[in-house]
Amino acid sequence: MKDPGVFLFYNMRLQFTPQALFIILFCFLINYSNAQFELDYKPVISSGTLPAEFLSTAQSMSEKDISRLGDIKYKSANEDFLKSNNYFLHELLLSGDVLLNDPLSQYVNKVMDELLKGDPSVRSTIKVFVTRSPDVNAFAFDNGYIFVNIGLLAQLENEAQLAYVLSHELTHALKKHSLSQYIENIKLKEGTSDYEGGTAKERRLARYRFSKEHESEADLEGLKMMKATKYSIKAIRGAFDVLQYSYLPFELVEFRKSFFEDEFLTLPDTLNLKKVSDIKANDDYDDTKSTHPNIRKRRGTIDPELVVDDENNRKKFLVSEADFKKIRETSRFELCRLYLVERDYMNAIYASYILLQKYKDNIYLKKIMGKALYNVMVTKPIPDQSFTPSISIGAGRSSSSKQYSIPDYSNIEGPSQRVYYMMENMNSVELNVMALSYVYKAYKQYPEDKALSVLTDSLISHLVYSNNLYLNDFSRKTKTELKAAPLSASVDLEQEESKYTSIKRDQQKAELETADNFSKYALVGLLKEQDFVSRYSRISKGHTKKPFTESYAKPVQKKPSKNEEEKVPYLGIKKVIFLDPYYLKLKDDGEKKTVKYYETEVHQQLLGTVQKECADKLHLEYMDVSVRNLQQNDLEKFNQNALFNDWVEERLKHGNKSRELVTSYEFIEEFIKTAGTKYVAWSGISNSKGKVERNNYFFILMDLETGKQVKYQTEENKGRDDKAMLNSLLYESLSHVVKTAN
Amino acid sequence: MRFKEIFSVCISAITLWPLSALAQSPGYLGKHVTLGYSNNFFPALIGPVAKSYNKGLNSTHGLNFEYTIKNRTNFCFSFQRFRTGVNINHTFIQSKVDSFGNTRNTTYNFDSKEPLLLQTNGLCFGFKFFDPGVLAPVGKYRKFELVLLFSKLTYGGKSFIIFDNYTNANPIKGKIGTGEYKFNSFALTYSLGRQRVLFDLLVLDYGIQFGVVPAALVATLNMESDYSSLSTLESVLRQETNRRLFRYETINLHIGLGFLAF
Repeated sequence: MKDPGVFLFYNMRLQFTPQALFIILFCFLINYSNAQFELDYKPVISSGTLPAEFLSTAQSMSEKDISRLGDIKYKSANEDFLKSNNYFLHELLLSGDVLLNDPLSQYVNKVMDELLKGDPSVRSTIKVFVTRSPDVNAFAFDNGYIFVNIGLLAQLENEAQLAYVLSHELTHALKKHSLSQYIENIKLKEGTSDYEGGTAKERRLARYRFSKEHESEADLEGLKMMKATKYSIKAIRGAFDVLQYSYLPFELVEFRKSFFEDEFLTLPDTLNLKKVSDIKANDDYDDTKSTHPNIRKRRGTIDPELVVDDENNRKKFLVSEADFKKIRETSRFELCRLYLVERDYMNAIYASYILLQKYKDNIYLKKIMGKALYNVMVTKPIPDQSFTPSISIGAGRSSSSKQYSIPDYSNIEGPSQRVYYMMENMNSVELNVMALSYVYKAYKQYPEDKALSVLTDSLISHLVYSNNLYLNDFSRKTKTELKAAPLSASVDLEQEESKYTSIKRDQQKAELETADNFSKYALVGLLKEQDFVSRYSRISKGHTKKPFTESYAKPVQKKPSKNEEEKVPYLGIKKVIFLDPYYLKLKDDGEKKTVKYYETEVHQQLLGTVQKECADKLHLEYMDVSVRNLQQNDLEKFNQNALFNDWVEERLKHGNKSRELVTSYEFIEEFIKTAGTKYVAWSGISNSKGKVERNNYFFILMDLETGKQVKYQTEENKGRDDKAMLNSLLYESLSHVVKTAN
Repeated sequence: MRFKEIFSVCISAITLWPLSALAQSPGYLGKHVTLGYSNNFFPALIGPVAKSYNKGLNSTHGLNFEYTIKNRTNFCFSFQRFRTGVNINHTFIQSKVDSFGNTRNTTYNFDSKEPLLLQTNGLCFGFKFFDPGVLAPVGKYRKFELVLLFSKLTYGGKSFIIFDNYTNANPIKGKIGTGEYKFNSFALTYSLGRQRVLFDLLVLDYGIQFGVVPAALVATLNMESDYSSLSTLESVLRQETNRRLFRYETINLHIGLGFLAF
């Protein structure tokens, strides 16, 4: 479909009057700002070179900070705080969730430049990053690192609101609020805090009070910073609206079931929630146990200060309105993908639905929609459970994860409630058919897209293997056509009616009388497509309908013996991809466990080294995508790791028995080709030293192509986690990966 | 004897070496066999040490061969050797009835100046079971072993003074002279220990071992402590040897150093 801007340009190009030129330019700009979203969207990735903090270790960062402390009160607590602060900061920076030199970060940094125009010395100490998280939030570290989530960028209304959020976080960083809270918690434990209340309950709540005071201070100090700029102060009110309604989608658009319907697929009205719940969003909620004051209190504190004389000279946008809209739209596109990764399928469906209203032909959104529908569908119970294909994985034990279930629609407010209601009330077959219809139409529009083709095949497979539906189970005529046509038995009244024609007539009559049997007629259109029919035939070839007796006469399955269950398979794999190993060293003094940050980092490096040494000894080839010891130009590795982390995180959330699709499989397919292997290995240890030193070890090997967990091994032992122990564990795990059964 | 011991070691090594290819366990960094030296030691709290009644340390030297047959199980074979002293606190009388129907008593007095020398070679076969969660040979273990003990008890020229009452009026007094007896026995041991691998090559092993010599227990249960019921010097010395071995094996500390061979 042509964009209106483009259309206008074509019609006016023959008359180059100044006015026409202006209109052309204006239309071009409008069109340009949205053109990148019209047909496709590529997720944002980091670019440029890696800054110093990505290349050093948390320990070196902490040592540098500690050396600057001097002789101060609570020095030991300060040191502990810096160690912890830098450790988590470093982990976050390398997690892949942080974007670098991308359009979003660049824009947010420009807003920060604007905010600190008058204070370049402070600006030089502040670093702002955008994080790939759907949460509507921003946060700051005391050493000047500020992170803004994509979820927040997707919700903001203007640049001034973003500036206020940044000024709020900047105050936290400059006033070192995190450190104050850390020290205050220690004082509370020691009983030397000024916040010591009379009762035990008051003492427990003291830290929340302290935190809330910091929030109020950040609100007011942030406002002062804003007043020193040319940003609109009035716009700040809206920032609190963003917070108050942050649980709602970024836009409220009426959700219509007709979105999925076509000439042949008509969803019954029973799937449409008649009335959606009103949006309540109480701003005066109980904040006793909250780190932030409730929204009403925050508004109450700040409202009197929002009046300035020069409001008329102030602007909502100082950097660029067009850029703001572009980054917000980009964030919304990103958000759709992040919802999928976070397994928030309802929001993924609704968010992509909203954007598809604007960008009807966007393949990226169509794929998000298709994947979300697929993943909801596979979590639906299948009518005949005995026919559920089981995915038996690896060494028997499975990682813990929660099975997905659609959140209760009655707890949802606003128009998105209809999505929850509809998905909740559709059974596996109905959802399967609807998703197939949607995805196949998208595939027809973009026949060169492999992901859509794969998704179509997967949906057909699910119909055949799980829902036991074959081509002949679907009607090739619409209900209307069938009603209009004479019933098959009454062909020739002169002839005697055979038993079979009688049966067929009765069946046809029964079908027509079934009001909500929409799935039977949903594929009428698709069944006219030769490609669809041949795909369906190919997938269902060799599989016949299961005899109905199987549903009650289940074959007795031999229970595997204990030896068989415990038998570790030899996998005969030649090459694997190593992810950064996980390590956590804890000190357990009986009352609480504290993280040993330096040792954790050192041991994480050691485990990585041991992993590679063991692989070398076993002649196992590997590709290391670790982001420890990065060089300045290793951005490709950094981006790869980010995508891998997404994949692994999503995959682990699905658990072992789920058939949900890992949504970033397109990237993975490309990567498998580059890497020359489809297996990814991840290992880790949690070591806790108290009276006894205990270790919990895990090793996971996953097949990137199928998402299956090929090997899952855990071990618990007592003793020092020295190199010998790590060797012993890793070598065994990897030997099973590389060796063949005989 | 020596030939037998060397032969046993060679046969075990030749048999187990090719088996490493078929091992159920990957071994430590691919290595299944550990060779090493070990020492079991404990202060001589009751019995004497070799050639001396002074306080001293009993010490057993051992050459070990260990083979990882399962992830957490090692087959252990070792050759060990130790020397210690045997003390006999009693005078005992050996009675015989001669062909004339006269009872002849020979009294043996042990000369307590010098203990008897007991030299023992042992062949040990057993299994080490490592704690769950790690791969042999790393970590804590329990070991069960059968120890075949081949002992040689040597007495010196002055060890025994005998009185023979062939004629009561003029008993013969004299020394028995030098000599040795060889006894075979066995012990069952249970060890608790821990092993560490250093530099991916050396295996440091330390622990404690408890053992029992069933023959000594049987003797005690049969109330054979009464020497008068024993007919010969040999049987007396056999029993004393078993008792000494029992005390020797009861408890020992253990330290060893080996290397991961192949």
